[in-house]
Amino acid sequence: MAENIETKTQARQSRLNELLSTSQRKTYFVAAVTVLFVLIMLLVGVLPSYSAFSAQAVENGKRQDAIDQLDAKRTTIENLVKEEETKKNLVDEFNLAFPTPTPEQINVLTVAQNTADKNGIFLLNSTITNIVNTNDIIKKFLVTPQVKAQTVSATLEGERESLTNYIADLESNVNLFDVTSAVISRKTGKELEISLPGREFKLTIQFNYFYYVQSTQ
Amino acid sequence: MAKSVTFNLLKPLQPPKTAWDKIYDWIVDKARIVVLVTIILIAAAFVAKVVVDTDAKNKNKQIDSLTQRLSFYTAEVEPRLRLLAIKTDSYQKIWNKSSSYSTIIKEIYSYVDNPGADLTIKASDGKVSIFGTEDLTLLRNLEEKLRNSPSFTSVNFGSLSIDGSDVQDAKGEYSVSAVIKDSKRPQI
Repeated sequence: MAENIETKTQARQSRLNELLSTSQRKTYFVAAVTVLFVLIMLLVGVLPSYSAFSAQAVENGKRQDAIDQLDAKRTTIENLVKEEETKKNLVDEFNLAFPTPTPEQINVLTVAQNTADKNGIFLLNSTITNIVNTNDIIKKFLVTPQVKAQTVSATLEGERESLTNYIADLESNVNLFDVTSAVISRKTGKELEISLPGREFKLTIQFNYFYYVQSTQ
Repeated sequence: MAKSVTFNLLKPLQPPKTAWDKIYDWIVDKARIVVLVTIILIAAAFVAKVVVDTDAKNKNKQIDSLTQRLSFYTAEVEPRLRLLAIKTDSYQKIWNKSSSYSTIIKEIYSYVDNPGADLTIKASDGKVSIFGTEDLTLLRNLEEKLRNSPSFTSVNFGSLSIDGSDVQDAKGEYSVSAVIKDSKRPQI
């Protein structure tokens, strides 16, 4: 056993001696060992150190992206809040015109009355008749199911031109009034005979007004 | 000539170097530049690691601060602003697709010279119907104007009936229908 080990050691020694036998071989051997050493230093010392901070730098880059996105969102929200504050009257008017979550029926009837007064015509009656089918609204306006509408029916009397102007005023009103039917006719027969001056024409109008509910029931 | 023999006891003879001694000598002599460069690189990497770790800590604090701030907005402000945005979008769609009949009715009245004409105008579903009992000349004029107007298509006289008394007055009971080409409002 001991002889065997000695034989192996001698064999290694003789091989090493052979490798270092000439000056040229010695140079090659040292160069190879140097390259091997540099590689070991790179693998054991430099690369782990480099990867330790470079991986952290990559993580920091991701953190910076997250910060940029959060900051952009914060800036956007803060700007919107400021804008909302500066345009509070406009926002309030908008919310009255397109209310949430319940319809502003009194506001709608008041607008109908005020518009009639403005045009010098007479509002005989106005009623909120029914809730419009949501599918019809979606089909016509391509909006979400949260948009609801109710129908207002009104009858008015006045001059022909004033009645037409009344329709135009409703159509351009900030409240969303979608006129679905308008019938203007001149009174005839007995109805015309008993009619007061300036009330010879009659308008029967139906229009939808809209509101927004947050749930989809 | 006598040969002098000196013994320098301060410099004892070294035992023959082992392979490990040779490697050690080689490392501290020939390969020391490599070792020095490696140590410098590791030291630089350590400094860089400290810097990036501090940076990471600061960024984490910044993220926490922003998240906390945004959580307030998310709960209180964002739903309100989102609702406003959705409503604004719906408002615009409804406005742009809502009907506009006033200009059409005004146009039809502009074709009728007699302000007291027995004329009923009904506008709905993108169509307009006109009916009543009126002078035949007026009807002819109305039909011609409607057919030539760019606002209408499919102008049809649905019916025209003249009875005995109407013949003398050159009057007739009629109904006209037409499809409105564009019954939408100006877009916003």
